[in-house]
Amino acid sequence: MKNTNLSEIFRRLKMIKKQSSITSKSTKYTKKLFIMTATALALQSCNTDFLNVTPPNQLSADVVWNDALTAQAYINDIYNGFEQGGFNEQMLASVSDEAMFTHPGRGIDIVNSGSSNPTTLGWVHGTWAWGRMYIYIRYCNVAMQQLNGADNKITNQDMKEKMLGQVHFLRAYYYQQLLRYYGGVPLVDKVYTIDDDMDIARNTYEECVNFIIKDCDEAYKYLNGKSMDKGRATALASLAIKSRVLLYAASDQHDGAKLKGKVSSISHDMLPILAYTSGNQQERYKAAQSAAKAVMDASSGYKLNLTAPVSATEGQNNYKSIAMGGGSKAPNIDPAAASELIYAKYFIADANYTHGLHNGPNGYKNWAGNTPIGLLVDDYQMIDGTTFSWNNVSHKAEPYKNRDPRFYATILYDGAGWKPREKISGNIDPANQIQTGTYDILEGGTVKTIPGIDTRSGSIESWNGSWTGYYYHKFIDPDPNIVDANNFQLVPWPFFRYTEAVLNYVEASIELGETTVARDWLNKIRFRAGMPAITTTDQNQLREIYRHERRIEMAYEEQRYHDVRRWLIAAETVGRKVTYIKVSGKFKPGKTMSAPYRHDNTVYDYTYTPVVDNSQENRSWNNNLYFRPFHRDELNKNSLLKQNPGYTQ
Amino acid sequence: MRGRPNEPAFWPHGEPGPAIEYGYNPVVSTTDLTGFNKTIDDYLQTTGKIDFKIPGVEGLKLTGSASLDKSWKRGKNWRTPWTLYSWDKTTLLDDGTPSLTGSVSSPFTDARLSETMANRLGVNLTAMATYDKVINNDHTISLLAGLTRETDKSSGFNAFRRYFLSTLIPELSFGENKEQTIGVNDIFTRARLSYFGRVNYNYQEKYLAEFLWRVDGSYIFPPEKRFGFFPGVSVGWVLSKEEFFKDNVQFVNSLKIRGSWGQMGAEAFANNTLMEYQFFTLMNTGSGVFNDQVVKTLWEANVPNQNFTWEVANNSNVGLDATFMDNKFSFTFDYFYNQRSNVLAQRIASVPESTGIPFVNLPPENIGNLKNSGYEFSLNYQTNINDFTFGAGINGGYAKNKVLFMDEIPGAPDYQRRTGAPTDAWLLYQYDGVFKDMEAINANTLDYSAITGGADLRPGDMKFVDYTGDGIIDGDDQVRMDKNSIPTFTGGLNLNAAYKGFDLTVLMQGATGGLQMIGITESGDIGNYLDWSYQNRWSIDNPSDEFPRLSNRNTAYYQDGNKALNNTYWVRNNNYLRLKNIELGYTINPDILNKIGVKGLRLYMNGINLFTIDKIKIWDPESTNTSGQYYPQAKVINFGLKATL
Repeated sequence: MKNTNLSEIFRRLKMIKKQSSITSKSTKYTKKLFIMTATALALQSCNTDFLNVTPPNQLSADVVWNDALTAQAYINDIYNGFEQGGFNEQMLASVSDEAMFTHPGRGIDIVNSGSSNPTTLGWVHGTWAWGRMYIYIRYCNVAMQQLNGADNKITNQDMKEKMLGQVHFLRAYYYQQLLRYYGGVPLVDKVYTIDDDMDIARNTYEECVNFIIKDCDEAYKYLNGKSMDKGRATALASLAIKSRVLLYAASDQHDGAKLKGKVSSISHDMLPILAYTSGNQQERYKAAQSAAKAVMDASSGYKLNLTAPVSATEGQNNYKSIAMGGGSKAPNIDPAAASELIYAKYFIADANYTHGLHNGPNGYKNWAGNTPIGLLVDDYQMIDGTTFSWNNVSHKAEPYKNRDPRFYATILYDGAGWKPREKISGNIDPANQIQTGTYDILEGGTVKTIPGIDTRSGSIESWNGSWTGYYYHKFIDPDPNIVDANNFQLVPWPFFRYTEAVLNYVEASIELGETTVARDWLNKIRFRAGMPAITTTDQNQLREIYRHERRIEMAYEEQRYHDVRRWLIAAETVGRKVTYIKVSGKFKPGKTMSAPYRHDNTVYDYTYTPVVDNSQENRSWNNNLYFRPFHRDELNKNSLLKQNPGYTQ
Repeated sequence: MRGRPNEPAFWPHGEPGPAIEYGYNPVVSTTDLTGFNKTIDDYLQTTGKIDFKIPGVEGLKLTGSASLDKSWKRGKNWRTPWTLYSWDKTTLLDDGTPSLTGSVSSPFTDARLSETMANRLGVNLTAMATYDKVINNDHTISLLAGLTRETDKSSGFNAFRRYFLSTLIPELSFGENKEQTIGVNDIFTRARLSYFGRVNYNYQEKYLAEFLWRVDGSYIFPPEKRFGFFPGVSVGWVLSKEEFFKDNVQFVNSLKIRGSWGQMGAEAFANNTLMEYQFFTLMNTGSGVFNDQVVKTLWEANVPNQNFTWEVANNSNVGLDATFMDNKFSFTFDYFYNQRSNVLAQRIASVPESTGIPFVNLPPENIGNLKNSGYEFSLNYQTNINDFTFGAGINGGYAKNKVLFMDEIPGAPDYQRRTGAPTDAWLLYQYDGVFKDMEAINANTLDYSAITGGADLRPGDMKFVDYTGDGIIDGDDQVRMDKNSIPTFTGGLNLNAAYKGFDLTVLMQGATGGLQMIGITESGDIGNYLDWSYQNRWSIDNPSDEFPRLSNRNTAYYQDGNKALNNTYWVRNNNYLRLKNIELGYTINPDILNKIGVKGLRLYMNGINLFTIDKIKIWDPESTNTSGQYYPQAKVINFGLKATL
């Protein structure tokens, strides 16, 4: 809005003044003055330099590489492709037989029902999404061109090598993400301008693996012996990515014959893009084994030198400490377990994440999020190493008793102790226990059945309750001072931890028939968790035991989604229907309890009923989903891009 | 802002009830209990001007003007934690009211303050020469030439603190420097230079002609492409001044026909924001965390284009103005045909993601071509017979635009292409009724699995047309509509009448030819359903083959944005006819009033938006929001009295 009054008055004043001085006296002097002014304006008008505006708040790309500090800042940003690691509200666990996502509308059901297609992709996350990965790959390519080029003015060779090492690591990581979700992808190592031809075909699986391994090797070469800031790429992290990529490369999913045997519709042309069509799988396992060994030799992990199982309590603490990665101040959490982390996303108070809010119980005003499903819970062994079964009467009577200590460090179940509830929800649950069942309660002389606080019928934000009857807490800081609905936690996300290298080594060794060494390393992992030793060295038995161990040890760590695909066992695992638990507490004869309810085996007879429930997600496996589809728009934009098998081109 | 219909806003003793999430209970979040968000903009605009009539040259005038626009902006966002109360639905107090539990329900537990300040100066210098001359009383010539130099600079900063010592003083000095942030905002430098001129000629005000031109230069464009030349011509012929006309067509009092063609330049915009500095390769700053410290990062702000220039609007127009029947009727009509060429747009649709160029980083390119054509008219009638005055008028305009060329996804099928359709036309699945019962589902032969997310079809689910005829309902069955949300025809009707002291005015307005998406609200567990959706829904007791079943939180495929929400069921035409304003007044005879010392007195009553005829029914047809989150147009009835003393 113009302030018309003011400007009008101003204008008039000026006019009166000027007109009286100029027009009344048409002397030579005023003429001269006018001509001078007019000339000045005319000259000024020809000068267009003022149109060359310098952008006030952005740095020109040309100068970035003149200075090591600005160059490092450019490389710093490439790490943002990691986003919050696996701590997105929707976790990859919910696209596997570990968990089910609570809220609708996120496209997860589309993937889990096997109906993902080129127009309706379903849930895709930024940490592996097609476009996002290529953005960061582009940045890597820019940095490599500049750092290797002659124009940069960075003279500090040590800093330059550190930068190059980081960039090679980052590009390896981002390509590794694309490769494991999509199969072979176009290997872009140039920097596109808008005038370029942008059509590009997919490289073969083998070419992609070799490209990534080469980047890992380069990164190792540049970073070896150098000390790096926490959160940056290291030589060890490059070895770790190499170990993962080579193990994946050796897996059945990427053996041409085995993949074709499972998914017969794959065309002859497509097969090399998804798998090796030559070479020897055993040789590939050898490469995977030595890559894993290289990681193991270069570091030591956390408490992996045990010769006998620790106590159940210690096992639970060990496992929870590893999950906390040094980021928790809670009692019984050992910060030294941070030594497990080979590469992680760290958080500080200024840049933190609300993982507890997204996944905690609704009775704590949290959102349930990625709730464990019965299929995961049931897979935790008994503490004596036997299998849990609902057909076992004593197991069924007390299903949460005497389980693998890692169960207690991962799952919140009915009756499990949790944080002080009064800090967020008032004094309604002095016992601070998870309530996911229905319970008898005595009120005014009559027995009523009430729903637990953490159910979808509870009194607090019931629409955020768990469907499955479980909550997960593996990566939630148990520190009672952290109220998840309001506070942030500092737990890092483990992109790669030492135990993954050990498991990779075990897997390769089993496939190579070296079962004794494989069994011994498996046992070290089990001892740390308080689980008894495995004795068998039979290859087939050990393979099954190993796969189970990997599922339990690495739960919620973005492994299972890939593992079931690598092993070509998706139909019988992630293709299964979701199971919930129904818990009901009835008064024992002669016993009663008034509000507030607490879990008490002396007052209640609890019954536990596992049920299959398809109402939220009707899971079904579709072989297409061994590889994710490309969006039809991307296929249309890049005419050389071939769609993955089973989806419309 | 949502609330559950079955939760109380307030408890019996006045405590606020629970929220859905983030503690957003409308009865609290609309009050100052949660803090405030204030922005103050101060403007000081000054203009100085010198007119200099050149002595000795009749009709020549030089004008110099300078304007300085100075503004200061200050924003303050103060957020304080608040408490809501919930009940376990069991425990009662002695007085029989619920025993409540209060807890801090805001998403934060300590107060936070963010402040922004910005300072802006715009300078506009204009110099102009005009020369007016009348030759022999017949030839009127007017010449103009000038230039404008414009600069606009702004800079500002922002600051944020938390952990306040006291919430009584919302000033930064009371917060802690722990976790504070400081940054810049509103920072830009802009510069433009224009030369312009005009030659205007008329002969006896009968034949009119004008030639205009501009040369515009802008910092937006690369130096070699910076200036654009934009000419224009217009001609007019006042027929009614011709003798042959005056002699023969007496009922027409005046008649003018006119035509024009001209070009205008436009700068580059994306989402209504200027795309600045796009021929540089620039780095933005961001942040990352290493060694438990926040560090600066630099990221590519754009991919440069060295080769773009002004977008051109080519506007042509023919029209006529006429009055007739003793000037009782006046009529104007215009037909226009505007074509925008060299349209500046980003090549979002055809650049593959594998280039690693994010869409937002694509530079503007001169790649589009649009046309917009239509007509406008108005016809007015005004008369008075003795004490009775009466007037009526209708006006209307029709405009429809069409994309002649734009960046498209290369392989998109014809029926989905944007080219040929209006801008921003919807791409929609075609609603085909509802599965009334299991019988209808059993009879269905189409495969819906690509859009249902694995759920089996259930009675009450929506049917779609298999546009491709391949037996599968998927993304290929979406069709580009020939309409967007802007009506193609808008019009109005006004009437006025007066008799002695009474006066009456009526204004009606209407529109046709647009579409609006409606009815998508947060519902079920996390909000209420629309009454209309609830009344018109499939249910077991009231199976329908027209209205779909409602789903909790829009989970059904025909309500889910990840699936097939974009369908024609939710889109309706936003045609309407509305009685915008009606007013009846009575002015009391001044003679009577003078005796009591009052100069004028008028009594009136008026009504605004008294009735509307429309197809949307659920809410205002002029709403532009798909969930009705739009400030509603009020129906207002006023009674008034106006006195002049």
